[in-house]
Amino acid sequence: MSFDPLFRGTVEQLITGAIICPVTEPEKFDYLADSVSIDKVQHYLAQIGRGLSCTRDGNGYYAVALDLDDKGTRARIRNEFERITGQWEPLIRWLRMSQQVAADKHPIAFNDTVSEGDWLKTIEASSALQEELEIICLKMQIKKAQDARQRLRALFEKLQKDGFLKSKGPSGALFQATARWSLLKDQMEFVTQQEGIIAANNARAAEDHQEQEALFHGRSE
Amino acid sequence: MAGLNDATAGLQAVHQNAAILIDACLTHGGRISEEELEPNTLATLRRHRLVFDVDEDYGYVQVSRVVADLLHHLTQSYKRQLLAGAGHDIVNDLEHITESYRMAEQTGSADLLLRETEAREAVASLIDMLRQTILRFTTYIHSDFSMVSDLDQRIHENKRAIEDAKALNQFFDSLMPSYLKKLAGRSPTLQTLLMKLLRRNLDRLRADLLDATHSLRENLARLERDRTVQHYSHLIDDFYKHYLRNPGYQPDPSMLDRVQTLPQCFIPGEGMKLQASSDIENPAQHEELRGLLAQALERLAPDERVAQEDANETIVTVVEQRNAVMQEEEDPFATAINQFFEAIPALILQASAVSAMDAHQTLSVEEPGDVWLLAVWTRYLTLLADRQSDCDYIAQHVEQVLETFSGNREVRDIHFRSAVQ
Repeated sequence: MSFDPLFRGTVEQLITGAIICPVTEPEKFDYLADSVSIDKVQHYLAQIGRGLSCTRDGNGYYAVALDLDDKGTRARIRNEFERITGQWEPLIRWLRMSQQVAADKHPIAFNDTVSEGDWLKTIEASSALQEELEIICLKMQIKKAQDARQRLRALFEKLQKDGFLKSKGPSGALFQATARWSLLKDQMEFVTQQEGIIAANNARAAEDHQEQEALFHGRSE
Repeated sequence: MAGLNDATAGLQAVHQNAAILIDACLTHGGRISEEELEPNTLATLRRHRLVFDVDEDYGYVQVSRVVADLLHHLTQSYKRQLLAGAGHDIVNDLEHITESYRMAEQTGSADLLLRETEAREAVASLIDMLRQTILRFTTYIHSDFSMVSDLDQRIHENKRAIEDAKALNQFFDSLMPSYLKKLAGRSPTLQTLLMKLLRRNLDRLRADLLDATHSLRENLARLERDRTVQHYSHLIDDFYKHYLRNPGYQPDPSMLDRVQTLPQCFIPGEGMKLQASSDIENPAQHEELRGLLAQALERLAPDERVAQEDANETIVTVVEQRNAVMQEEEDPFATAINQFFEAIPALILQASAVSAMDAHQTLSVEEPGDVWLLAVWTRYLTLLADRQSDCDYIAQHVEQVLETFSGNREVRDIHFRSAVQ
């Protein structure tokens, strides 16, 4: 059997827990787009107790555990769930901020280009966004930054380190969103369904509306 | 003349009942409640075939399709047409008319002119129908399907428009040049009508249809992207509101136990760290390691290696010491002076006089004796000034008169004695 460096590189990347997407690893992503290659990779991964999965939008491949009956695996999955979701609040605030900052008013999604300069310009022009940036940094435990510029730089570095952004170009101020955002979206959808977040929000909104109506009409409970 | 009278009466009936017909077609899908109409009005509409009864128990009459089409044409508010059906009807008519024309042409019939008129009308009707249908697609695209407000509805209408365009494209396929040539036969009139006029229009309309289909597909992709973004935005907003209303909220991991199948997005494989290190303690590996090292060094080109060595030599490491404290070594002469004066209190207890020149020799001071004596005397005076009356010893010059210089004395030594005598 001849040595296939692309196969090796792809498998190594997957078993270290990374997500392969066109932004981070375009060659390996194209390799997995081929049905023969993907079968080969899946067959190999199955032998070490792993499977291959893909984000719902098809933009990212990642390895998953197969043996879910193992107690150790279940415990690890639970711990990983807590670790991942424990970091969500600042990420969701960041996503919400991106809707306000982006020219098209869309939240950051896979393959979007993010310019630190444009973000800084918009944030510095709004005290509300500066406050929100400060809250996000606080929740991400970024303490050393003193002003909006430093906070933004620290956040971009953290997002890059966590695999959400990849640096683009020589300036170091331009980034591209990876499929890590797609995976986050899939995870958020699952949790929303399980926790009934939308229904809870709608119920609460209906209660608030009734209270306001009662106040308006001078009725009290 | 009967036809002309019927047409005139019919149009007058349309004119008189325009409000009822317009309201029915544009608002109620062509239905008119029988109870809302005067019996005479209903009778007039039935007589001129402007409305028809769907079912006697229905309670409604339906406006004739021809009248509805006229109104939609006038207002550009087309509802879905049975494209394939409408088109095929016209083509069936065209087949019949062209066959009749060929027969009339062969027999020299008096109906030849009539058939030619019918053929021209059929061709014009077909061209007009196709043009209006394609125009409808263009209208949809420019209006962004704004006749419906919901994004899902727009996507649904867009998809339906694409299906209609596909059906129309198939209809165009059925009107191939070979088919038109067969219809025209050997008749020069029909050949001009079908192979030139109709075919030229079909080519142009087909190109318009392709453009419209392309735009519809682009529009659909954009609407679907918008729907995805809208869904994502709502997801983020819902979570954000949940965090605001429930400070400190964290998703409950027990939800993983409640589901039958764990979602793959939450079952990542444990990341393996891929590392390799050679066993440098094992002597059996040494030879191989040396070989690997030599290979690694050989990969560097000779000039690169030299350049690297040069770079190593010329590299100067700059260490910042702006706030550093530097210790400077004390001058040996100053050290000797300090040592002498530190020793004087002890020496004067052991000897009646302590000689500065003896100290000069003992301490191996390099400077000349007169410099030494001057420094000792200066130090003594400084001490006196600092301590004022509090000094344990006194110093005296040991002088020698210079013979040749009257009144001048050379200081040969300085003696230190205890101040308590």
